[in-house]
Amino acid sequence: MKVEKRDGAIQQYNFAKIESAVTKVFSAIGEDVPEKFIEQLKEHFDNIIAKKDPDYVMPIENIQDTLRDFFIKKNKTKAAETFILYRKKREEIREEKSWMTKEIARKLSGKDVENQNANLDEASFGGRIGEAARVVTKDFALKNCMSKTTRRNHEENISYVHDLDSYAVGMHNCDSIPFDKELADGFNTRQTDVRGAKSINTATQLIAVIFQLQSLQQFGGVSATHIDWTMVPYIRKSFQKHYIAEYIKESDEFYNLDLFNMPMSELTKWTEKQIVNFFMDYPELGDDDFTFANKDKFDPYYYQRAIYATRKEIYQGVEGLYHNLNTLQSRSGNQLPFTSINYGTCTLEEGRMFTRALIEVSIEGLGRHNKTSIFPCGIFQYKKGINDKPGTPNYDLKRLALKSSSMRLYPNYANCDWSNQVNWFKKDRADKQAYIDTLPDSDREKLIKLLEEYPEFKDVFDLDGELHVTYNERPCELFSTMGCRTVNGLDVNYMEEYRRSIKAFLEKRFDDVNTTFVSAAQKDGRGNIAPATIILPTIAMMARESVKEDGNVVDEFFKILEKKIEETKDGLIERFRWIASQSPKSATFMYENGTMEGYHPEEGIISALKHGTLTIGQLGISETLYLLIGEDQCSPKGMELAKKIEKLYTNKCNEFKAKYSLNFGNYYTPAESLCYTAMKKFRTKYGEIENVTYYINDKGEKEYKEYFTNSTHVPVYKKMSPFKKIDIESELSGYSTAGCITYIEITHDIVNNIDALEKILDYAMDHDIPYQAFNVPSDECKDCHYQGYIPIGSPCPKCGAPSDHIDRLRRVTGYLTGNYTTAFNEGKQDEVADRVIHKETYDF
Amino acid sequence: MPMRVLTLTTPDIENGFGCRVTIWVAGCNRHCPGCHNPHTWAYNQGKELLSKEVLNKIYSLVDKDYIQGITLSGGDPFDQDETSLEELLIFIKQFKINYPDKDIWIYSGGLYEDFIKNDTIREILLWSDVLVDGPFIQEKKLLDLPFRGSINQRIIDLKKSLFTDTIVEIPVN
Repeated sequence: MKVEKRDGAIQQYNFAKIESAVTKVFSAIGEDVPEKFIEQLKEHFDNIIAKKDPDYVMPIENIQDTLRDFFIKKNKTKAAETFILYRKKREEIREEKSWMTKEIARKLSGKDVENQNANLDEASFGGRIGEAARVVTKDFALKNCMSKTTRRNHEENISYVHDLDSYAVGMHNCDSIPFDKELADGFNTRQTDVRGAKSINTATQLIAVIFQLQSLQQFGGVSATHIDWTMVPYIRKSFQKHYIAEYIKESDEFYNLDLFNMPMSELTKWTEKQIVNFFMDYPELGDDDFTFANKDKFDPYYYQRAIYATRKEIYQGVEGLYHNLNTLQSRSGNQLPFTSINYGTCTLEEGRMFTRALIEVSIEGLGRHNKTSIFPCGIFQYKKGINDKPGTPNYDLKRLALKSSSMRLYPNYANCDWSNQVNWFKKDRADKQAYIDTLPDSDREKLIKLLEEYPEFKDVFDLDGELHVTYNERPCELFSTMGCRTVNGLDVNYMEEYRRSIKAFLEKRFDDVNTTFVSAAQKDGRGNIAPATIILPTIAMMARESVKEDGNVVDEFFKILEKKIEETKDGLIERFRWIASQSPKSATFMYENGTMEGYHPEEGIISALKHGTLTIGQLGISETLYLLIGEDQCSPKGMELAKKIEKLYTNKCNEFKAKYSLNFGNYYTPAESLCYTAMKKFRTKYGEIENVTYYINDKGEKEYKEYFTNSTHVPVYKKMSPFKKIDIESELSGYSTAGCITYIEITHDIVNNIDALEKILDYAMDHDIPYQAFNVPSDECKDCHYQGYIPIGSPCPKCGAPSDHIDRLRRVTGYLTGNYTTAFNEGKQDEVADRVIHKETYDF
Repeated sequence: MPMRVLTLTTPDIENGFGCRVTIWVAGCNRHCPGCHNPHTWAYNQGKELLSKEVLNKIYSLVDKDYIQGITLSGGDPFDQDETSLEELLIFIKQFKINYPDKDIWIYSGGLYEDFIKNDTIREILLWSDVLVDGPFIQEKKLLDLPFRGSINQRIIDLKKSLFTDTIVEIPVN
């Protein structure tokens, strides 16, 4: 006889296996196998086999049933029970394995695409491998890497652990790359090392390379915080090269060069000699003189030619940058790195030229049909006195940026005068002053002397010659964001680094002075380590269910919320420790090249990670308010309660920050996938609730929602003017210490009316909105490539192609995607359908 | 017949520069084929322009720094009887006196050349800033034309045109 196992494998019948099972059962209940039990059992099976054909295949279940019955027949009840339980447990494990197998099979097939992230191609080969692996790594993380409370909160739709698939390997989220340093010093990679950039063309290429390399060592985005300032030295290098080249090309000797046959080494040598000659001819010129502003020092003939060549090189470099960031797939080829670049405040002509190129290429679009560039997410840094009003030095660039936003949705706008940013900056300087003031007199005297001797360190320490703190905001401290919205707030652990550097300086160990990590308000070299999000509507339902008859739902809500904030904090600390326990070898690029600042190898990677942020996020304030008091934040009563919730968040985060010396922050989570999955779970558990799972539209019909409203946003279907929306959201954005975004929906006609767009932007900035984005529907006909707004269901107005031939570009969580009708998840698609243009109408 | 208003929209960004309050008046006899707003053709609908309710609403919406001006559209603000036109003149004068820095755009299917021959309309134009004139002609419709539907329609700078006695158009894109 043969036996068929559960996986279908056929084996020769072997009684020894049954015997072994029996021994195990009795040993499990602490009894010896009864005398003659095995012999009788063997006889029993032999009898059965004797009746069967020699080729008969018996399913394993039948053998197990026979064994179970035999236990019962012999009155071995306890053994029978144990055996039954054992079988049941095995069955559960098998079921789970088969669930996982099915899930892996589903993901591997790439057919049932969920679009959890609009920029991730789940149907591609790489995407399918990744998705399949995610099934295992998510499950592993839930079961092995976190406390039961964190897991339960996650599974019960209370507090969501983001990017679970990256949890177990201990990856962190995102990083603002210190490009000033990386481009100047060059960097190491696994196979080679790269020298610092010597021209603007190289520098723009290296930006893409570094973005790519860093994004492979984390699960979230990468940003450049002040790219216009960063590029100035390389633009000057290019300008110098072009200037001297123009000069050299005028010589007779140049015309006699045999450019076809001359070895490159000789040509290089010849050029170098000419450069030496150039500087002999112009002894008054040095490397440092090559700036655009030094026009008077140069020969106008060569100057104009060199500027021409530099401008062309910048434009081509920027075009290359955009192309690279839209083509170089990362993470096994299913995803572009999530790149963001902040710009707009550099008033030097070099930086202005770079910003201009960034915006001009954005307006121009990419490829044969001038498509809107999806990456990088452009962020224009709006700053009073720099680019806000006519007459400010970069006002022209602001106008150009607005034109781009009207056509291409990008750039978004970061408010460099945001009140929180101003406070962070002041706090940094105050802390520095307080520390310097407590130094012993001997150290202070020494410091004064050393600063006199080495004045270049004054800027590093923000000190003048008399040890007063100076208030020059460096470009790396300016307000900047990740495209999605994440902000690097005040670093609670920075002062340690400052003290360390001052000490090194006093001991004249100049190499140990950190000259690139210089402020607690610094954005560069920091990022979010891990986010978690509390699903507020679930908390509201828990409060409604648990409140006593004479109790108050709102009070109950706050009781539960406070507990869940505490638990979420515990979960983040667990995860932080887990991430910090990884070897630096897991992310060699990051730790070798200091893309995360503050890394001291002897202290482990925690020395760098502790400067990053841990963010406690939120989803669905508007639905929560409805559940609690029947009104949302658009009414005064709703706003009052919303503020109370935000205050609790911010106070708790500040408390944790002080207590644990970790950068906790109140986060208005992007929740791209979560807005959908959380709603799905919520609906299953609690059913349909007005203004939560559906709302009543203009026609009095129920409109079902497949999403929770983002963070503190006004519900997307509420008709109101942009100014009103800004009024409302700006009352809450100040509580967000870890990032938020405000959207305004505008019609495509804004392309012809930049004045109007500017008014809305100015209004938002004046009302202390930290990060503003404009959503202008941007559609493109796949047939004739007409670009404009084409309402859903309408044919192309130019060539008449049917509506399903239209690519519809929309924004999700701060970033853009391709066609939203195929790239967004169901929840976000439904949200886009509900979005209304922000405008007020009064009918008489 | 008194001038009537159907709807106010704000901020309107499609009918003139900047963020505007657009006043959609009732009534138009032109009935251009392909008209965007046929529901505005009837005269006897909406509320009177000079009623307290309408005026208060307009002024409350306009009284913001970010509002660049008002736009009169419809309907057709000039395809009206003399009583209506005189009421419109009163409204426009009052508005300009209250808000000398805000501008007035008017959309009409008629032609500038004809309007300046009508004393009341001419005076309205004198108090206003921009006239978008001419009927909507479906055959002359162009995609993405700024501030107008068909290419025959002109965006006329009224100050320059009236003072120089020529037609000066405002270049847009």
